[in-house]
Amino acid sequence: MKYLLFVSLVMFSTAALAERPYGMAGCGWGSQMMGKDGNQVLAATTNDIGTQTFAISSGTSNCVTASEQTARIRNFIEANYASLVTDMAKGQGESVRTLSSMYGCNSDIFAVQMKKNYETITPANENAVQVMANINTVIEDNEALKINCTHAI
Amino acid sequence: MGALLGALFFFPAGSFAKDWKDLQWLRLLHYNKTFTGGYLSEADGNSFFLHPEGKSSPEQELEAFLTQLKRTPAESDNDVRCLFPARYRWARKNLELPSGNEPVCPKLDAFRKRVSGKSIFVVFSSYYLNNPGSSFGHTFIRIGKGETSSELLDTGINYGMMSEGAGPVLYTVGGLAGWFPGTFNAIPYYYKVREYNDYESRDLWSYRLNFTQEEVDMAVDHIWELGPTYFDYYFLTENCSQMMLAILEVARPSIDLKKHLPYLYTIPSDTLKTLDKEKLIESVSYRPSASSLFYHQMKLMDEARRKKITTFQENTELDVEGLPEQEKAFVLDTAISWIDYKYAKEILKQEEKAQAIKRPLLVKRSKVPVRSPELDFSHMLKEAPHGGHGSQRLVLGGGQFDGKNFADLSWRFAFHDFLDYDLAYPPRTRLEVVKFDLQSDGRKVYLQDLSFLDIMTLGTPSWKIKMGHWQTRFEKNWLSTEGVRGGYGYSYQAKHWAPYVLGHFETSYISEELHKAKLGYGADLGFILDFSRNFKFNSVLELRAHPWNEGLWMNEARLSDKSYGIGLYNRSWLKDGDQEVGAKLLFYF
Repeated sequence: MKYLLFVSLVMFSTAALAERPYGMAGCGWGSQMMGKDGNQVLAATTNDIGTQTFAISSGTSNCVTASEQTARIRNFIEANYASLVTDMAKGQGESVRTLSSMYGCNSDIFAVQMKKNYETITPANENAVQVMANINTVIEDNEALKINCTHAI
Repeated sequence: MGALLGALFFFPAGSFAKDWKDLQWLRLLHYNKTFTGGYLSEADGNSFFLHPEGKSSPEQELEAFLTQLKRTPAESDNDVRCLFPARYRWARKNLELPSGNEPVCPKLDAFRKRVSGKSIFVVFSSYYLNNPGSSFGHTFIRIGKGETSSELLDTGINYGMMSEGAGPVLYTVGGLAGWFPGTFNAIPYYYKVREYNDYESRDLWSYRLNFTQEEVDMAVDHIWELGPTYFDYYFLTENCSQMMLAILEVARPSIDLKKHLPYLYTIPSDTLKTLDKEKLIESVSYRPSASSLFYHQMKLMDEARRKKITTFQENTELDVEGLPEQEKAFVLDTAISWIDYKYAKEILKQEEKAQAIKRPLLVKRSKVPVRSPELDFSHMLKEAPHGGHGSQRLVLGGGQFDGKNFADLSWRFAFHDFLDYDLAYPPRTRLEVVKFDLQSDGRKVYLQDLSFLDIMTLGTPSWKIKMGHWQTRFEKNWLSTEGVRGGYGYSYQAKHWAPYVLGHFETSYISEELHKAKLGYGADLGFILDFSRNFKFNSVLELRAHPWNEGLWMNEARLSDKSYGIGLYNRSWLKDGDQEVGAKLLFYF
């Protein structure tokens, strides 16, 4: 019986899934064809980062170093970009709330400021690094956020 | 000898056999019983075992582990207590260990801190409409950081096959034969959300399990142990779903999840049902995909506002001038959702064209000083995928063929047919693997149908393929036929019905009388009515121009839910004038 399943599945998979293979059970195959265009979201799901990811060390102390905090926020902005800019324009939503928590800000104040400064934060043809720098500037220039955001970078 | 020593050192002699046979120890090392009564671990990385024979000997493996535990901790991170913290937890709880040998494990501590596990979720991503192969979803584990942290920052634990560079054929064959390794990764949950929700427009369902903190810790530590190793990946058996269940079984030894599953394969939606049967589900939550979000927003608008969006879809011009602020915001939100859904790929890659459409909308939205309403998706909870039908199906039926009675018995191993209840399954899609149908007129039993594979999907594109054995009606005779038949064509997708037309080809061998291979062609004209998930109707006219020169008209209506169904059907052969009518009862497991 296993053999029959095997044969039929080979046929099925090669015939039907030549373009982008997915598992019979839909798993494992899902992300395997992604990540070839260098996009972070796609790459993160496919890279052979198993052991590396597990072994990532954030140092032995209890605090996170500034560069790690920067990398963490930059990764978040880059990966969540589409949803984040939408949330910033609305001044509400999960992505902007999450980003606010990463900066240690009060999310209501943070979201309002992101909305207010939306156009300067995301100029045309921006990338994640620029956007992060612009957000940092908004925090720096705003009295309330400056005091409020405990993990600002 | 080693066993004896180990036993003498830690605990009274005689209990060692009890220990290495302990269910949790066997599960921690992923042992299965072999046919000869021995054990074999599913893990294939050598570093997973301390003893050279560890893969096949839970006894020697435990000895080796205990021997290591006797030693003063080795250098930090490389001590067995750091490498195998879940085994160590088990040993501390179940065996008498000497105290004071606590190791220093900075890397493990960093991992635990990064994950900060407070809860465990099983996440199910729904079918992927663009690909029937992913029709049955995907499952993975999410480790939650607790109520105070954003869900997006939780950790997704993915188990997948590493097959970089393999083409589809090698990929498929290798995946079935276990040639490629399956490995784990632990990444922020937001990557999974973006991949499934946004990029592929698949809904995500999170099943929060009622695990205690101790059980969550055990799972996190076990995942750490699995990080550096690999398992040969088998699509049907040792796949993501089984691995996920294995981790849950390690964390809570009292449950047995695999007993609820079919022997030959494991599919994701079936695993959700096992969680339900073992009463592990604390709550279910729903995260809409980009398309679900957009269509929900569309539903909430009146006709005039909706018209603005359809105009925008046509020419990317959105007129919101003169609308009250609240409505202006909502129309803009909806247009933005449409861009995110329609141009998911382009948006993700930040391509200029898509950005050029989206950005002006965002800037405009940022200047509307009102909040968007919080969208309520609680109505989706009754659609949770663990309520889908079982993938195995038994059919008992009976009817009349040309006035003579017959009885009918059929069994399907997996998965779904478009007349079945389609919660958690893709609509208007049949994907059946190994199905047979026996008929008897009271004197003799006939193998009416035996398909290894039977697929038909209506969408873009619409196509079908069937491989196996069936009966061809020709000049008032049944002819046993083996072969492959397929088709390709077009369907129109309306809300409650879908007419379709498929070109048909077949290559088959007629064993009875003719002993001939045949090439055939024709067309199928039909439509599906899906009044609801429960009640469906299919009517199709199968025209066969060559070599049979016959037309068959079939109608079937079915009323079904997750466990039972009833169906009525008739078939008419247009040229011969033969008539068949029948009724059936369907049972889903």
